[in-house]
Amino acid sequence: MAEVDEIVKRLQAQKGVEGVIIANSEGIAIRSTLEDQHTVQYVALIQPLLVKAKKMLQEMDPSDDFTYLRVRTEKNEIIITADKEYFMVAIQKPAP
Amino acid sequence: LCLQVFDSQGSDVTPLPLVAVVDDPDPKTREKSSLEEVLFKKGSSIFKSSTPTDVVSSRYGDIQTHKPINMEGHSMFIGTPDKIFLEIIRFVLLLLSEFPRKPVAEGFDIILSETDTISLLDLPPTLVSEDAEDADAVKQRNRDYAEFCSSKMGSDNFFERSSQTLVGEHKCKYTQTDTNKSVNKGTIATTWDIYDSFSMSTENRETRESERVDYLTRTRNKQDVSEVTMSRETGKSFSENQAYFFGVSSAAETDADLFMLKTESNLEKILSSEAFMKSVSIMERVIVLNIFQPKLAAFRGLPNEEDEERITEEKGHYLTPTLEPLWTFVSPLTRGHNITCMTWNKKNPDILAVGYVGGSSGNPQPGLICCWSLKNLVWSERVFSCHSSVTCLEFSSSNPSHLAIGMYDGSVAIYNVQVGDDTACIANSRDCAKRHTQPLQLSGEEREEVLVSVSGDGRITKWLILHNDFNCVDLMILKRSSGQGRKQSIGGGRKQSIGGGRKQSIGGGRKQSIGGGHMHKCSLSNSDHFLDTYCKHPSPVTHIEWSPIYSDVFLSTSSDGTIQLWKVDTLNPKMSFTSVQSIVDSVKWSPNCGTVFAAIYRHRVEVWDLCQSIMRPTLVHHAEPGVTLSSLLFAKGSDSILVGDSRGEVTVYKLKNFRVGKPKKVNKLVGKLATQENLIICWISFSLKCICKHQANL
Repeated sequence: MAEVDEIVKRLQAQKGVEGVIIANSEGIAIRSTLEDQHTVQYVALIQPLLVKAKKMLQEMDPSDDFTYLRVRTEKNEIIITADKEYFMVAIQKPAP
Repeated sequence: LCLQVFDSQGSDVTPLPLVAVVDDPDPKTREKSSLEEVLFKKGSSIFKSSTPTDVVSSRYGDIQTHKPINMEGHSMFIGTPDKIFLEIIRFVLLLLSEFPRKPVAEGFDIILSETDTISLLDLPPTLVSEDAEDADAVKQRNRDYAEFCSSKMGSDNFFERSSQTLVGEHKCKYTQTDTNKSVNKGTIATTWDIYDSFSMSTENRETRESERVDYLTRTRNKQDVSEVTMSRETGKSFSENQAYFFGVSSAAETDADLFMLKTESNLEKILSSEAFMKSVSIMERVIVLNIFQPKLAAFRGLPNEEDEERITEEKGHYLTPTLEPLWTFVSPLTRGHNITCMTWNKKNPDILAVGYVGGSSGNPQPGLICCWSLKNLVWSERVFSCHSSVTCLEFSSSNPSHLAIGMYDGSVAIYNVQVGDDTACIANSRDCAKRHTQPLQLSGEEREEVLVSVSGDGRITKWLILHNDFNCVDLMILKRSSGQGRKQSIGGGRKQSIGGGRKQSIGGGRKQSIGGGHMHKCSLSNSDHFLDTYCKHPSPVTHIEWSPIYSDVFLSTSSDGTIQLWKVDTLNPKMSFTSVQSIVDSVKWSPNCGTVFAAIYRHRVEVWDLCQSIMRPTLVHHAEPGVTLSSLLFAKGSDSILVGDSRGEVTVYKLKNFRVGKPKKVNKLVGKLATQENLIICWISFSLKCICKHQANL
């Protein structure tokens, strides 16, 4: 438990990272460094995206596994890692 | 505040309020004056008049217009047109708020109700009596008018015409929305149902836990009494605070609390699962890669957009070679520990193992080994602590995950770096005695790999792992050539037979140096005496390095500040390089280019390129003040150097602007190093990192 907290803290301390959210697969945020409203928004919007991405991979190649997904926007980059029971989101401002 | 409405004649037609005072326990029915009258009739006529006022005053206490009114349980009807209405309300509230009321047993009600219909336009017909003077005229006029109306139909003065109101064009606009899913739910809560649910919920709470976990996301705070009959929602509710508050009893609430606790512990369990750790580490790597992407691209030699522009601008000039720092491997654990050795993994060239000295170099304390990966530049992947300072380490070629280390107190250990925290083999500290153990490894082609260590007590031992036992066999004992009795450190050099064909005795020969500046060549097959002795250095030799490309060329460095280039067969150095009077700690050949080597002095790094100059180093880089550089490593396949220093940091530098100029003196070098055995070395060094060597005869 403490290691996880430590790692999350380290992640948050990296350059450019704006927020880290950990949520379980049903959409409840377990840990978050953003404020509640944003957390809920991110979780709610990312979850269907993840479902679709996993489904797509599953259809293309059933032996393949989802590792992570990056959504790069003009302002920042959203990195999503996921497993069966949870998913984790990090929002990072890319280096200039 | 007194508002009165007058009609054209000046008569007061102020709309009268509805009955103002009702439920009046007071039997005085003359009490008809409404509160409004009391309030608004400014003149105190009301209060000064006779009986009604007395009644009023007795009723309401001692009042003037702004004294509190005792409203004991009246309900007041106030009905007026809007503005008046608001004014009244305002006034009432003002009264009530400003002055303390006498304690009222019950509150009072303000009941707002509809007004009468207010007619805005009323043109009543004028009634003229039959006997009036102008009755006839009026009649005539009426008749005329009726005729006129009827004649309007067919006359030419008037015709019917329709007009068109322009209706704007409709525009079709398409929108898309999510369907609002609706679910019909019905439930009948009968008495028995309620009872059943309660009793069931208290009995088998645990068995139904799993069902409840599923409900958690849908309805966070819901404690449904008739849970049994509730069906699952199909839509997902993401809001944590979505609360379906049902009337719950206290027993149900404690249910909810326990329920919440259990699901929360489930959530926490996720965090401590292994898969999660893996995801987190992936995430960390991705983020770090994002941050360091340009540096890593430079490390790998990938063209960076900005660099290309600069290069095209300055193409014609000869730029000074410099070391450009890319990043630093440092972590809080390693701060302050001197770095003694670094090595790359044989199989996965992205993994770097670094050995640290624990504490200050005087007193041996538990040392550290960190395995860094190029994928995560911020945190080391593995950290192992050893019971003594680490002096040297080496990855195994045959088992790429085994790392052998030699420690200050003379023991050797093997770590399996795939495992997070373990020592694969026991560290043997009994046999091998003193200090400065430097394990070497032979990379034999056919044979098995052997771990050989050289230590300061003059023994060369071979270590074997038999049945979980770590044992060593002495291969050779070095005798000190001169019995000076001072402490002598022994270093070792590894021999690699590259280019094939050169079969040596078992695994190859060795060279060692003994303090006092002598170097001895020995071979495994002949363990009695040295084959050759190379003497040149007046002071202790600190390091020997074989060239990875030319199998019989080696460099030696010593604390007298010189670097000597030797060839195996000749007992005198071929070339000597001096730049600064300072102890040379270490020297390494570049794995990419056969003529480049780098040397560490205490406070500077020098990179020599023999193609360009043999008199002075091509590149000199000074360390920061107060920092001693202690270890050096080249990166294969990349133009980079890793420098370890006394602060516990490994800095990665890129060789910039290296080898831009044309090589000079190639022939001279070739002439020098070519021996009569037809060792033809031709160095093609125009392009970056391209070296070919033709070695004939061997």
